[in-house]
Amino acid sequence: MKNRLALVFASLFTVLLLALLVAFNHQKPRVLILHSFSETGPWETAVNTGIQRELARNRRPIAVRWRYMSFSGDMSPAQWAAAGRRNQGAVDSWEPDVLVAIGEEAQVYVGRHYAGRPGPRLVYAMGEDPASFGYTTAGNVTGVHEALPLAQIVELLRHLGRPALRIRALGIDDPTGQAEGQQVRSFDWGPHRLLGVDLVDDFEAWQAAVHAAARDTDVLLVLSTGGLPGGPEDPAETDRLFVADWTERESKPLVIGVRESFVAGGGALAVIPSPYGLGEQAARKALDVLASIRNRTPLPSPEVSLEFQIALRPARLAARGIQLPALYAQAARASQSLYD
Amino acid sequence: MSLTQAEIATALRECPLLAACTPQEHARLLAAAQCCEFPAGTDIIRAGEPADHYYRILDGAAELITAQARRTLGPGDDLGAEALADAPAGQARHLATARAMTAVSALRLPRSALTAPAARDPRIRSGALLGLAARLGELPPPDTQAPAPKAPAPLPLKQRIGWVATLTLPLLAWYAGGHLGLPQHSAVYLGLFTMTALMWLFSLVDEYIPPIIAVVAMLFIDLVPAQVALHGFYSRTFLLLLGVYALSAVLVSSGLAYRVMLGILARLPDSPFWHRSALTAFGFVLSIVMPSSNARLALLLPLYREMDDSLAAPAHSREATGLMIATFTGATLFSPLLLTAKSSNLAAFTMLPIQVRQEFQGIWWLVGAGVVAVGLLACHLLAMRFLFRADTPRRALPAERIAGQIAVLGRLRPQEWVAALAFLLFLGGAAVPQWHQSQPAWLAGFVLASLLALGLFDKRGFQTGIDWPLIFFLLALDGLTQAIHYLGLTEVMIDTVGHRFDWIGGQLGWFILLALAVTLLLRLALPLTAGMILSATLLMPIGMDQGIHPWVVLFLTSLFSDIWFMPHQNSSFQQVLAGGLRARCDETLFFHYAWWLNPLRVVLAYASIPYWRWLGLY
Repeated sequence: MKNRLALVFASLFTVLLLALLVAFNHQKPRVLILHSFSETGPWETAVNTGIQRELARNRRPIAVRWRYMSFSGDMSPAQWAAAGRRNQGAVDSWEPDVLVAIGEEAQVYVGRHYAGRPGPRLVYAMGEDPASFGYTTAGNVTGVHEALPLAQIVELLRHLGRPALRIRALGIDDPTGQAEGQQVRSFDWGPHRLLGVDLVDDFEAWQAAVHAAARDTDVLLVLSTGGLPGGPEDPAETDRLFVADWTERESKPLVIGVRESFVAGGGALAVIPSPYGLGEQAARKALDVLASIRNRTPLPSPEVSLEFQIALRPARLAARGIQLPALYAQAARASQSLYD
Repeated sequence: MSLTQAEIATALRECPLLAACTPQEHARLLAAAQCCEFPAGTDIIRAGEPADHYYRILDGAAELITAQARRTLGPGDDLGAEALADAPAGQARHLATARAMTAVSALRLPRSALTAPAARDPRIRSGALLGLAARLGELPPPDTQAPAPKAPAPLPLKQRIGWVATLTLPLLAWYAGGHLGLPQHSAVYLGLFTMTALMWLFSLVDEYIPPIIAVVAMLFIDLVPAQVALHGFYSRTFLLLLGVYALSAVLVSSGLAYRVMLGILARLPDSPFWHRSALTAFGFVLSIVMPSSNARLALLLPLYREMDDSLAAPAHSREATGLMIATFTGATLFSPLLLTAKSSNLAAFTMLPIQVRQEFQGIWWLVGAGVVAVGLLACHLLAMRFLFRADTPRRALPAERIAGQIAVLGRLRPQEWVAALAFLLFLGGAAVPQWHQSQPAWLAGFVLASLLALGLFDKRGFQTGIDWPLIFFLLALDGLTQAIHYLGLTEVMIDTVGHRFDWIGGQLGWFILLALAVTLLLRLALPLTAGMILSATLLMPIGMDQGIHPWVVLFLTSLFSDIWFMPHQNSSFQQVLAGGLRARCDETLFFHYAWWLNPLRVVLAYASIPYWRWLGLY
C-alpha cells in the first residue's frame, strides 16, 4: 500500500485527471449524424464511408454519434412519425452543435423541426429541394444538395453517335421521385429533347410505362426505384433489383439509371450521384460549421454535390450494340461498380 | 455459551494464527465460524480422525492426549491445527486426542474456510503447524503474533515535488501550448506527454503505468482513434513479445537453461578467462530469446554464485570482481546487438518503415550491428583475459561436482527436448526466414501456440511467465508514439526545428553526435525503455530528413541508451547489488569497467560508418 501522503496525491491526481477529461468531453463539439434509413443499407454505408474519410482528416477532438431512423424501408407513416419523435428526443437530450440530416425522411421528421430555431446547426444532405423544408430562409441551416449528374449523362449520350435523342424519365410518384423529376424537367437537355417525366404509383404502371416508351423514346432515364409498390392491390415494395432487371430486359430504348442499384440488379448503365462524395461533402460542411461557431463567423453556404460515379454492366451494354470509351469501364472499376 | 456475531468477530481477530488474514478473509471466516459446546468428558477431536475443523477454546479446560504425555489447554489455546495441513481432503488427520475436562466452549472453523487464507499467506499454515509440533513435542508454543505493522516511511521530498509538478505542470503545458499557437489537439497531447514524463522523472508510480494512463486519457477524449492508441496491441510486436517470453519461460522451467550452463562450464578449460567467457557466452545465448537484461541476470546470478563459491577467490580481489563483471556484462552487453535482446528494441521496431522492418527482423539486425558486436565482444574478452588476473593462487572449478550435477539432471527429459526444438525453430526461423516464408513474429506466435498445445506452457505459466506489465508498457508507449504521427506532431516538430539541424548535412558522423546528446540527455531523467523509445521518436524524423537510414537511427538510440553513469540509470546494477556485489567485488573497479564501455560504444558507432557504407546503409 502506498504511503498515506502518496495516496492523497495519487487520489488527487486521479480525481483531477478524471475531472479534466470529463470537462474536456463536455466542451468538445458534438456532431449527430442522422440517417433516414438503416445502418446496413448500401447507400448509407457508402455515405458513411465518405463521412468517415473526411472525419479521419480532422484532428480536432469532436464527439460524433450516429443514428438511423429506421430498421427497414418498409415503415408506415405512423412508424416514421414515431421514429421522428424518438430522434428529436435524442437530439434534444444530447444537444449536438451540428445535426447532419441525411436523406429526405431525416429532414421531414427531424431536420426541419430545428430549422430557424436556436439549438443545433443543421447540415442537410439530400436530393430534395431544400426550399421545400424551409431551409433556404433559416439562418442555422446549410448543407449539400445531391444533384442528379444530368450533364454527365448528356456527355455520355454523345458517344451513342446520334445528334438528337428523345429522352423520357421514369420514376415513382413519391417525394423523392418528384424531386428528381423536378431536376430532370428543369435541366437543359440540348441538343436532345426531353419528352416527359412519368411518375408512376406501382410496378404495374411502371411496366406499362416501360412498354409505352418503346413507341417514341430513344433513352429511358430510370430514376430512384426504392419503395415501388407491386400494384393497386399489392402495397408491398417490389424488389428494386428485380425492377432493374425487368426494365433492362423489357425496354427497347437504352436505359440509363441514376442509382447503382439499377446496374446491381441487372441494368447496363447508370450515372449516379456519388454517395461517397455526398458523405465527404456533408462531413466537410459539418466541420466548417464547427469552425464557424468557433470563430463566430457566418455559416458556410449550401452547395450542390456534383460528384458522380459510373456503374456499368458491359455484357448488357454490348447486347444493345453499344460500346463506350474505355474510360467509362475504368471509372466504374475504380469506384467498384463494374458488374460482370 | 452463546456469542453474538460481533463477539465471534472479535474472537477471530484476537486469534494470533489468523492475525495475518485480510479484512475480507476475516469477513468470510465469520460466515463460516460456529460456536460449539462440549460437555465434560467428551472428545473434541480424536487422533486418526479426519482433521476437518480447527478449534479455538473460548471457555473451559481440555486435555490434549498424545502417546507420550497429557497437556491441559484452556481459553485461547487451539486444537486441530492439522486442518491447515496442505494435504488432499480427508488425508489430513488429527495427531492427538483432545477431551473436555470441564464444559468447553469453542469456536469452530471448517478446513475449507481456512484453505484460501493459508494458501495466500504461508505464515498462517506454518504458524499452525509449528504450534502443533511444539505442543506434541512439549515445547513452548512459538510466538505466532503477526509482526506489528511498520510505521510507513515519510514520502521522500523528490516524490512530493514530483506529485505537485504532475498536478500542475501538465495543465500549464496544455495552456501554454494553446497560447503559443499549437492546435488544440497538439496542446492536449503536450499536456498528457508532460504528465507522463513527470511521472517517470520523479518515479511516482511504476514505470509502466504513466503511458497506460496517457493512452486511456487519449481514448477517453477521442484525441486519437483506438486503432492508433492501441496500435501496438494488434501489431506483430505483441505476438513477438508473447512468443519470446513464452520460449524464455519454458527454457528456464524445463531445466534446459541450467543444463546448458553446466554443460558449457564442464566443457570449457578450467581457467578464469574461460569461466568468464562461459558466462558471457551464456548471456549471448539468452539474449536471443530473453528481451530483458534483468531476466537474463536473474538466470545468470545463481550460476555466478555457484562458481564464486567454488573458486573461492578472496573478496574484492580482481578475480572475484572479474567474475561478477563477466556475469553483469554477459547479461547486458548484447542488448543493442539483437532485436530480441531488449524489449525497447522490439517496441521501437514498429517505428521503422515496413520494408526496413522486413529486412532487419531476423539475423540482419546482428549483421548491421556487426562492427559494434565484434568490437564490444573483443574488447570485453581482452579485458577479461588481461585485466582481471588472479592476485593469489586460485582454486580449480570442481569439475567432479559439475559432472555430478549433470548426472543428477539425467538424460534430457521430453520437456527439455521440446524447449530445445522450440528454441532452434525460433532461432532458425529468425535467421533464415526464407524457409518458412512468413514473419518471425508469426513464427514466435506459432512457437507460443505449440508450447501451449503441448502443455509445456500452461495457464499458470501464461499468467506468470510473461511480463505483462512490461508488455503493456511497451504497447502503450507504442500508442503514445503512434499518436505523435497521427496528430501530425512530427511535422510540427520538423517545422519547429526548421533548419537547425542543417549542420548535420546528411553526415552520419554529425548525426551520431546528435543521437548521443539526445539519448544521454533523455536517459538522465528517464528509465532505459522510455528513454530509448523517446529518443528514437525524436531522432527518427530528423534522421530520415537528413537521409540517415532509419535502422541506423534506431540502432544508435539502442546502443547509446545503454550508456550509464549513475546507479539509478541501470536497473541491472541494482540487481547485482542485491546479488552481493559489495560483499564480493571491488565496486570501484566494477564502475570503472562499466564506464569504460561507454566511450567504447561511441567509438564503435563511428567505426561502423565505413561498414554501414559497405552494407549500403549509409
